[in-house]
Amino acid sequence: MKLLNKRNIVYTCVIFALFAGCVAAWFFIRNSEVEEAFAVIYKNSEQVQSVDLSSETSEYQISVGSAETGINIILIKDGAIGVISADCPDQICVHTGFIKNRIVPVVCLPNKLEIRIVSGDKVHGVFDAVAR
Amino acid sequence: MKNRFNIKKLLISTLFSVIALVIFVIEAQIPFPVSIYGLKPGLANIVILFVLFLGGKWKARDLFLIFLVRVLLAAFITGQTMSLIYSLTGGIAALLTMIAVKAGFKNAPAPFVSVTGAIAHNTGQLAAAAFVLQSTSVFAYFPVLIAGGIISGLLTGFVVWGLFRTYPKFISYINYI
Repeated sequence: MKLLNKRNIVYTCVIFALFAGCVAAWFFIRNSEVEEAFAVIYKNSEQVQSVDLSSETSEYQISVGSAETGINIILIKDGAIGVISADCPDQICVHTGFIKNRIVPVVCLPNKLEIRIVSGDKVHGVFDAVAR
Repeated sequence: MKNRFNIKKLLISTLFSVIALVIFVIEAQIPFPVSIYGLKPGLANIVILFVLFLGGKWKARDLFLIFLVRVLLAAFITGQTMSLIYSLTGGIAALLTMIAVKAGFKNAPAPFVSVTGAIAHNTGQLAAAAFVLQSTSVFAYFPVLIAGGIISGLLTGFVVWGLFRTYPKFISYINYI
Protein backbone atom coordinates (compact mmCIF):
# COMPACT_ATOMS: atom_id res chain seq x y z
CA MET A 1 0.00 0.00 0.00
CA LYS A 2 1.29 3.39 -0.90
CA LEU A 3 1.75 5.57 2.17
CA LEU A 4 1.45 8.95 0.54
CA ASN A 5 -1.86 8.47 -1.20
CA LYS A 6 -4.41 11.22 -1.57
CA ARG A 7 -6.51 10.14 1.39
CA ASN A 8 -3.66 10.00 3.88
CA ILE A 9 -2.56 13.48 2.82
CA VAL A 10 -6.10 14.72 3.52
CA TYR A 11 -6.11 13.03 6.95
CA THR A 12 -2.72 14.54 7.76
CA CYS A 13 -3.79 18.03 6.68
CA VAL A 14 -7.03 17.88 8.70
CA ILE A 15 -5.22 16.71 11.83
CA PHE A 16 -2.46 19.32 11.53
CA ALA A 17 -4.95 22.11 10.86
CA LEU A 18 -6.92 21.10 13.95
CA PHE A 19 -3.72 20.91 15.99
CA ALA A 20 -2.55 24.35 14.85
CA GLY A 21 -6.00 25.81 15.54
CA CYS A 22 -6.02 24.35 19.05
CA VAL A 23 -2.55 25.61 19.89
CA ALA A 24 -3.53 29.08 18.67
CA ALA A 25 -6.79 28.97 20.66
CA TRP A 26 -4.91 27.82 23.77
CA PHE A 27 -2.46 30.74 23.60
CA PHE A 28 -5.33 33.12 22.99
CA ILE A 29 -7.28 31.81 26.01
CA ARG A 30 -4.20 31.75 28.23
CA ASN A 31 -3.43 35.37 27.40
CA SER A 32 -6.91 36.85 27.49
CA GLU A 33 -7.05 39.09 30.53
CA VAL A 34 -9.92 40.12 32.74
CA GLU A 35 -10.47 43.69 33.93
CA GLU A 36 -10.81 44.20 37.70
CA ALA A 37 -10.15 40.56 38.40
CA PHE A 38 -12.05 38.86 41.19
CA ALA A 39 -11.10 35.35 42.29
CA VAL A 40 -14.07 33.24 43.28
CA ILE A 41 -13.41 30.02 45.19
CA TYR A 42 -15.87 27.18 44.68
CA LYS A 43 -16.05 24.02 46.77
CA ASN A 44 -18.53 21.29 45.79
CA SER A 45 -19.83 23.81 43.22
CA GLU A 46 -20.81 26.25 45.99
CA GLN A 47 -19.19 29.65 46.31
CA VAL A 48 -16.97 29.78 49.40
CA GLN A 49 -15.28 33.14 49.09
CA SER A 50 -14.52 35.84 46.56
CA VAL A 51 -11.39 37.96 46.65
CA ASP A 52 -10.90 41.29 44.89
CA LEU A 53 -7.47 40.61 43.41
CA SER A 54 -7.12 44.04 41.79
CA SER A 55 -7.21 45.86 45.14
CA GLU A 56 -5.90 43.17 47.47
CA THR A 57 -2.45 44.10 48.79
CA SER A 58 -2.16 41.97 51.92
CA GLU A 59 -0.84 38.42 51.87
CA TYR A 60 -2.90 35.71 53.55
CA GLN A 61 -3.92 32.08 53.43
CA ILE A 62 -7.31 30.44 53.27
CA SER A 63 -7.95 26.82 54.18
CA VAL A 64 -10.86 25.33 52.26
CA GLY A 65 -12.51 22.00 53.06
CA SER A 66 -12.38 19.46 55.84
CA ALA A 67 -10.60 16.17 56.34
CA GLU A 68 -13.51 14.32 54.71
CA THR A 69 -13.94 16.57 51.68
CA GLY A 70 -10.21 17.27 51.26
CA ILE A 71 -8.21 20.28 52.34
CA ASN A 72 -6.64 22.88 50.03
CA ILE A 73 -4.51 25.71 51.39
CA ILE A 74 -4.93 28.76 49.17
CA LEU A 75 -2.47 31.67 49.23
CA ILE A 76 -3.28 35.18 48.08
CA LYS A 77 -0.16 37.19 47.40
CA ASP A 78 0.69 40.22 45.23
CA GLY A 79 -2.75 40.21 43.64
CA ALA A 80 -2.43 36.59 42.58
CA ILE A 81 -4.09 33.45 43.91
CA GLY A 82 -3.04 29.82 43.94
CA VAL A 83 -3.08 26.57 45.85
CA ILE A 84 0.10 26.00 47.87
CA SER A 85 -0.77 22.65 49.42
CA ALA A 86 -3.46 20.02 49.05
CA ASP A 87 -4.14 16.54 50.35
CA CYS A 88 -5.22 15.25 46.94
CA PRO A 89 -3.17 12.45 45.34
CA ASP A 90 -2.27 14.16 42.05
CA GLN A 91 -1.22 17.65 43.31
CA ILE A 92 -2.16 19.14 39.93
CA CYS A 93 -3.79 22.16 41.59
CA VAL A 94 -0.49 22.96 43.36
CA HIS A 95 1.52 22.61 40.15
CA THR A 96 -0.87 24.85 38.22
CA GLY A 97 0.65 27.75 40.15
CA PHE A 98 -0.72 31.20 40.68
CA ILE A 99 -3.30 33.00 38.55
CA LYS A 100 -3.84 36.72 38.43
CA ASN A 101 -6.17 37.92 35.71
CA ARG A 102 -6.27 35.07 33.20
CA ILE A 103 -9.42 33.08 32.65
CA VAL A 104 -7.86 29.60 32.89
CA PRO A 105 -9.04 28.32 36.30
CA VAL A 106 -7.15 26.44 39.02
CA VAL A 107 -8.90 23.12 39.55
CA CYS A 108 -8.56 20.32 42.08
CA LEU A 109 -10.79 17.53 40.84
CA PRO A 110 -10.44 15.05 43.77
CA ASN A 111 -11.42 17.77 46.26
CA LYS A 112 -13.97 19.38 43.91
CA LEU A 113 -12.33 22.78 44.28
CA GLU A 114 -12.18 25.47 41.65
CA ILE A 115 -10.70 28.96 41.69
CA ARG A 116 -12.25 30.98 38.91
CA ILE A 117 -11.26 34.47 37.77
CA VAL A 118 -14.21 36.67 36.88
CA SER A 119 -14.37 40.30 35.93
CA GLY A 120 -15.51 42.82 38.54
CA ASP A 121 -18.73 43.69 36.68
CA LYS A 122 -19.99 40.15 36.92
CA VAL A 123 -19.32 39.91 40.66
CA HIS A 124 -21.15 43.17 41.33
CA GLY A 125 -24.02 41.94 39.21
CA VAL A 126 -24.28 38.78 41.32
CA PHE A 127 -24.14 40.75 44.56
CA ASP A 128 -26.80 43.19 43.35
CA ALA A 129 -29.09 40.33 42.50
CA VAL A 130 -28.59 38.85 45.97
CA ALA A 131 -29.15 42.24 47.67
CA ARG A 132 -32.41 42.68 45.84
CA MET B 1 -22.82 -19.86 20.58
CA LYS B 2 -19.71 -21.94 20.15
CA ASN B 3 -17.55 -18.81 20.41
CA ARG B 4 -18.78 -18.07 23.91
CA PHE B 5 -16.55 -20.58 25.68
CA ASN B 6 -13.50 -20.13 23.51
CA ILE B 7 -10.90 -20.58 26.22
CA LYS B 8 -7.97 -19.49 24.05
CA LYS B 9 -9.68 -16.24 23.19
CA LEU B 10 -10.56 -15.70 26.84
CA LEU B 11 -6.91 -16.17 27.79
CA ILE B 12 -5.69 -13.77 25.11
CA SER B 13 -8.32 -11.20 26.19
CA THR B 14 -7.12 -11.43 29.79
CA LEU B 15 -3.58 -11.02 28.55
CA PHE B 16 -4.58 -7.87 26.65
CA SER B 17 -6.22 -6.42 29.76
CA VAL B 18 -3.15 -7.14 31.87
CA ILE B 19 -0.76 -5.70 29.26
CA ALA B 20 -2.87 -2.51 29.20
CA LEU B 21 -2.87 -2.44 32.99
CA VAL B 22 0.90 -2.83 33.22
CA ILE B 23 1.43 -0.07 30.66
CA PHE B 24 -0.98 2.12 32.64
CA VAL B 25 0.80 1.50 35.97
CA ILE B 26 4.26 2.10 34.49
CA GLU B 27 3.07 5.28 32.79
CA ALA B 28 1.65 6.56 36.09
CA GLN B 29 5.12 6.19 37.64
CA ILE B 30 6.79 8.37 35.02
CA PRO B 31 6.69 12.02 36.09
CA PHE B 32 5.05 14.10 33.39
CA PRO B 33 6.22 17.72 33.16
CA VAL B 34 2.87 19.32 32.25
CA SER B 35 0.31 19.36 35.04
CA ILE B 36 -3.04 19.67 33.32
CA TYR B 37 -5.82 17.17 33.94
CA GLY B 38 -6.16 14.67 31.12
CA LEU B 39 -2.89 15.58 29.46
CA LYS B 40 -0.86 12.36 29.39
CA PRO B 41 0.53 9.91 26.83
CA GLY B 42 -2.25 7.34 27.36
CA LEU B 43 -0.08 4.48 26.11
CA ALA B 44 -2.46 1.85 27.52
CA ASN B 45 -4.70 2.64 24.56
CA ILE B 46 -2.20 0.88 22.30
CA VAL B 47 -3.83 -2.38 23.43
CA ILE B 48 -7.40 -1.15 22.89
CA LEU B 49 -6.53 0.18 19.45
CA PHE B 50 -4.74 -3.07 18.60
CA VAL B 51 -7.83 -5.12 19.47
CA LEU B 52 -10.04 -2.68 17.54
CA PHE B 53 -8.00 -3.32 14.39
CA LEU B 54 -8.07 -7.08 14.82
CA GLY B 55 -10.58 -8.77 12.57
CA GLY B 56 -11.90 -12.30 12.56
CA LYS B 57 -13.35 -13.35 15.88
CA TRP B 58 -12.71 -10.06 17.65
CA LYS B 59 -15.84 -7.98 18.03
CA ALA B 60 -16.78 -4.73 19.77
CA ARG B 61 -18.01 -6.74 22.77
CA ASP B 62 -14.49 -8.05 23.44
CA LEU B 63 -13.15 -4.53 23.17
CA PHE B 64 -15.55 -3.25 25.85
CA LEU B 65 -14.78 -6.16 28.18
CA ILE B 66 -11.00 -5.69 27.86
CA PHE B 67 -11.44 -1.97 28.47
CA LEU B 68 -13.69 -2.45 31.53
CA VAL B 69 -11.36 -4.98 33.15
CA ARG B 70 -8.42 -2.67 32.60
CA VAL B 71 -10.17 0.43 33.97
CA LEU B 72 -11.69 -1.28 37.03
CA LEU B 73 -8.43 -2.99 37.97
CA ALA B 74 -6.53 0.27 37.49
CA ALA B 75 -8.95 2.07 39.81
CA PHE B 76 -8.58 -0.61 42.49
CA ILE B 77 -4.78 -0.72 42.22
CA THR B 78 -4.27 3.04 42.42
CA GLY B 79 -7.05 3.33 45.02
CA GLN B 80 -8.52 6.33 43.23
CA THR B 81 -12.07 5.12 42.76
CA MET B 82 -13.11 8.77 42.41
CA SER B 83 -11.23 8.99 39.12
CA LEU B 84 -13.29 6.08 37.78
CA ILE B 85 -16.02 8.47 36.57
CA TYR B 86 -13.47 10.30 34.39
CA SER B 87 -11.79 7.21 32.98
CA LEU B 88 -15.17 5.58 32.25
CA THR B 89 -16.78 8.57 30.52
CA GLY B 90 -13.61 9.31 28.55
CA GLY B 91 -12.95 5.70 27.68
CA ILE B 92 -16.49 4.84 26.57
CA ALA B 93 -16.68 8.03 24.48
CA ALA B 94 -13.38 7.09 22.86
CA LEU B 95 -14.43 3.49 22.19
CA LEU B 96 -17.75 4.45 20.61
CA THR B 97 -16.07 7.14 18.48
CA MET B 98 -13.31 4.84 17.29
CA ILE B 99 -15.77 2.05 16.41
CA ALA B 100 -17.93 4.56 14.51
CA VAL B 101 -14.97 6.12 12.67
CA LYS B 102 -13.54 2.73 11.75
CA ALA B 103 -16.94 1.63 10.41
CA GLY B 104 -17.67 4.95 8.68
CA PHE B 105 -14.32 5.53 6.96
CA LYS B 106 -13.35 2.46 4.99
CA ASN B 107 -9.73 1.41 5.66
CA ALA B 108 -9.15 4.40 7.92
CA PRO B 109 -5.49 4.30 9.06
CA ALA B 110 -4.85 3.50 12.73
CA PRO B 111 -3.31 6.90 13.61
CA PHE B 112 -6.42 8.70 12.29
CA VAL B 113 -8.83 6.46 14.22
CA SER B 114 -6.65 6.83 17.30
CA VAL B 115 -6.64 10.63 17.07
CA THR B 116 -10.43 10.78 16.88
CA GLY B 117 -10.59 8.44 19.88
CA ALA B 118 -8.15 10.52 21.89
CA ILE B 119 -10.10 13.71 21.15
CA ALA B 120 -13.36 12.01 22.18
CA HIS B 121 -11.65 10.71 25.33
CA ASN B 122 -10.48 14.14 26.44
CA THR B 123 -13.80 15.75 25.52
CA GLY B 124 -15.67 13.16 27.58
CA GLN B 125 -13.39 13.67 30.56
CA LEU B 126 -13.72 17.43 30.36
CA ALA B 127 -17.51 17.13 30.19
CA ALA B 128 -17.41 14.87 33.26
CA ALA B 129 -15.23 17.41 35.10
CA ALA B 130 -17.59 20.23 34.12
CA PHE B 131 -20.48 18.15 35.43
CA VAL B 132 -18.76 17.31 38.72
CA LEU B 133 -17.70 20.92 39.36
CA GLN B 134 -20.93 22.35 37.88
CA SER B 135 -18.71 24.79 36.03
CA THR B 136 -18.28 25.74 32.40
CA SER B 137 -15.05 27.65 32.96
CA VAL B 138 -13.05 24.40 32.86
CA PHE B 139 -13.69 24.43 29.09
CA ALA B 140 -10.84 26.94 28.95
CA TYR B 141 -8.71 23.77 28.91
CA PHE B 142 -10.53 22.41 25.85
CA PRO B 143 -8.03 23.47 23.13
CA VAL B 144 -4.97 22.22 24.98
CA LEU B 145 -6.71 18.90 25.67
CA ILE B 146 -7.55 18.46 21.98
CA ALA B 147 -3.99 19.34 20.99
CA GLY B 148 -2.65 16.87 23.57
CA GLY B 149 -5.11 14.25 22.36
CA ILE B 150 -3.84 14.66 18.80
CA ILE B 151 -0.23 14.07 19.89
CA SER B 152 -1.01 11.05 22.07
CA GLY B 153 -3.41 9.69 19.46
CA LEU B 154 -0.75 9.88 16.77
CA LEU B 155 1.76 8.21 19.11
CA THR B 156 -0.44 5.21 19.95
CA GLY B 157 -1.80 5.06 16.40
CA PHE B 158 1.63 4.73 14.83
CA VAL B 159 2.67 2.07 17.36
CA VAL B 160 -0.35 -0.06 16.36
CA TRP B 161 0.21 0.67 12.68
CA GLY B 162 3.79 -0.52 13.11
CA LEU B 163 2.71 -3.65 14.96
CA PHE B 164 0.31 -4.62 12.17
CA ARG B 165 2.97 -4.05 9.53
CA THR B 166 5.69 -5.89 11.41
CA TYR B 167 3.80 -8.99 12.59
CA PRO B 168 1.19 -9.90 9.93
CA LYS B 169 1.50 -13.65 10.66
CA PHE B 170 0.95 -13.17 14.38
CA ILE B 171 -2.07 -10.93 13.66
CA SER B 172 -3.74 -13.51 11.42
CA TYR B 173 -3.06 -16.19 14.05
CA ILE B 174 -4.70 -14.07 16.80
CA ASN B 175 -7.62 -13.21 14.49
CA TYR B 176 -8.81 -16.81 14.21
CA ILE B 177 -7.64 -18.20 17.51
